[in-house]
Amino acid sequence: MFRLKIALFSVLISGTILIAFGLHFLSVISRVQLERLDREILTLGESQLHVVHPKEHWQNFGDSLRSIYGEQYRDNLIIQVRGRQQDILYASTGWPEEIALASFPDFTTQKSVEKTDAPRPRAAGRRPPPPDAPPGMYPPPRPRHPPEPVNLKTPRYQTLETTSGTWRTGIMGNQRITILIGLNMAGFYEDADRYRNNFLIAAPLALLLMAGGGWWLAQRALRPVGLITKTAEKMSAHGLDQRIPAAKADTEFQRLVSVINAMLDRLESGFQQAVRFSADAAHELQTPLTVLQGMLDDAIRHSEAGSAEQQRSSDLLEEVQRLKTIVRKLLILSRADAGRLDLSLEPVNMSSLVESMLEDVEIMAPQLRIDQRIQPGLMVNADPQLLRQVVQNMVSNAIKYNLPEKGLIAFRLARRKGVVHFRVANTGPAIPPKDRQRIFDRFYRVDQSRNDRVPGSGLGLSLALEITRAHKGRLVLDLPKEGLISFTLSLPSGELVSSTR
Amino acid sequence: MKILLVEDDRKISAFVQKGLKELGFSITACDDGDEGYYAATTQSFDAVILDIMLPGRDGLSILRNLREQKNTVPVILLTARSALNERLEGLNLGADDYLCKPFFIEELAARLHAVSRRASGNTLNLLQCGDLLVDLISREVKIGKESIDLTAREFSLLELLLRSPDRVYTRTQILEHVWGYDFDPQTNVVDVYIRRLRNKTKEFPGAPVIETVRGVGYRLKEPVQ
Repeated sequence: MFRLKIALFSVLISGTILIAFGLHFLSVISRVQLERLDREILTLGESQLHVVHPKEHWQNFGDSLRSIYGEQYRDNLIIQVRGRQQDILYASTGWPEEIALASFPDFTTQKSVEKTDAPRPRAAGRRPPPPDAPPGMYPPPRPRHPPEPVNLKTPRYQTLETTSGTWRTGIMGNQRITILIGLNMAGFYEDADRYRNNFLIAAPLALLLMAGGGWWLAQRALRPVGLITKTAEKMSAHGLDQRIPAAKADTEFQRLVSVINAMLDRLESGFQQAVRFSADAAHELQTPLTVLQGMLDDAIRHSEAGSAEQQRSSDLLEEVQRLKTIVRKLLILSRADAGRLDLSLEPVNMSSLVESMLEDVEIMAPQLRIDQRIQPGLMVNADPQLLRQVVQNMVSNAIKYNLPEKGLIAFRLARRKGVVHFRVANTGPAIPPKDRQRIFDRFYRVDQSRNDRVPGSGLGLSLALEITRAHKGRLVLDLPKEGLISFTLSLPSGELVSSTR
Repeated sequence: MKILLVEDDRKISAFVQKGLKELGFSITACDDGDEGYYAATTQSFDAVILDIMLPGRDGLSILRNLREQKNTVPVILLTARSALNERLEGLNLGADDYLCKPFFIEELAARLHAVSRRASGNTLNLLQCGDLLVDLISREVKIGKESIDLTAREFSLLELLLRSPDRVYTRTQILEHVWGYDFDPQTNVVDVYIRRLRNKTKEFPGAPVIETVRGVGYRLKEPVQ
């Protein structure tokens, strides 16, 4: 997602810049091209204005143009020359009618203005009177020689559409002649089209490269993040001993990685201490428990049958047994926490295991209606003792937290898609939604007041969950259905036992 | 049967010695690994009980050294941990059995009988009390000449009681031995099975009687002749 964002972002930024720059470039190019045309027009026009040509010059003008520009010049160049009285001195054949003096309104205006003040600028431009001469002493001198084109009026340019094509036209003139020149813009448009097409091809290509580059950069930048994620994932599966390799990362990430690794170090050592503590505690308890149990057992054997002393010893032994069970569970839990819950896996016939337990349910809870559907011959790879613990916990919970009368307990054992599912459902007070999450927590028990009646350590479900996890299975509290509380244990299926065994 | 016990915890050692002596074993006890190893190599025993954690030489080293010397005396390891790798290591080194603390004397005695039987090739797998005869291998139960059908649970229950006649078992002890459960005191299941067992044997005068010890549990009594 981040990569896509980076790629899109870089494309957006660079695309905007590229397009703006491209448009600007195209417009500059076309302006430059246009200016080039205008300069061409000006050069041609000026060359004619600078010299005073006799009338005959214009009659042969077409031939001289051909000799300069080649045979095909007519397609690209048109010229019209007008005299003082707007009379046409020369006009290229096929002069489009759309181009006339009227096409240049501001030039015409200027010209008329020029006419009224004509003598002054000419006099001023040619030969200024000596500064010491009194004004009006000399009459303005007449031009001796061909007059120079000093009074070149500001040329005007325009692009005009005609039936014979689009022309860049320019008009210029002096007091004698006015020249209209048109250059065909076909070539100009061709160039413009070529530039535009090139841009249209190059721009998407560049954007694609940008996107690819952005993607690649983001991917490179994200690699340490991926590494951190992968390590964190491994961490939840294999304990806290995983560290992020810092060698490959860039400096910025190296810092992050080393900070995270340092944090993990602290976390691991704290966790290890906690685990070691509970393992040590459980371990240290075994010896006194052994002594206690042995002595009580001895006392029971040696006191008179049914005597008060024997009964007392028996009660004490009962408590020792309970303590022993809790210690054993804690030991299993602490091992699971340390990621060292050793399983001695072997094929276990789950169907028989469940069936043998059902036999006991009938005896332990004769008041319950039992609804069972057990698929026979289902095998799982499991530690038989630990698996028994899980199943037993599920079953005993379903008995303990059932209704006092008219209760139901339902068992389902089936195999679906390579997974063996064992579901135990029972009637009983619903588990409040706030407890659903915490029900697998250690020593957590729903509804404290109710539990005074129900014996148990509050370790069973968390233990069952840890054992199930160690077996790569799942143990979940199902959503309540038809007022039933139901847990499902799912384990990867082992080899099936043939039914004709 | 001569047994060597190597256990450093005095109290555990004391009740094990006492319990085993009462069950007819003759015990030599050591509380130190080196001392235990010396005893095991210099005297002959029918079986050795080794604690794993010992001062001096630990239990696994003693076992390894014994096996290196081709000493095939049956060995039972006692361990406070049921860590699988420790168990496997013990069994790989040539231990015949292991027992996790805390354990009951009867359990230890049963294992001792089993390993020494295995070692001596003795195939005596019969338990008898009065007219009741139980074959542990074929799982046949006979009273006199009459065969009796027992379910697996009933058989295990009878076997437990039969191993130590007169010995009182509490319901939780029975539950632990026979069912391997730690059902929170759901002990009525024991009562139901005891009742079933009694029903199956009550018509035979020569069969032992399962007696209720009020407030404690049950025990097997030899039939009054």
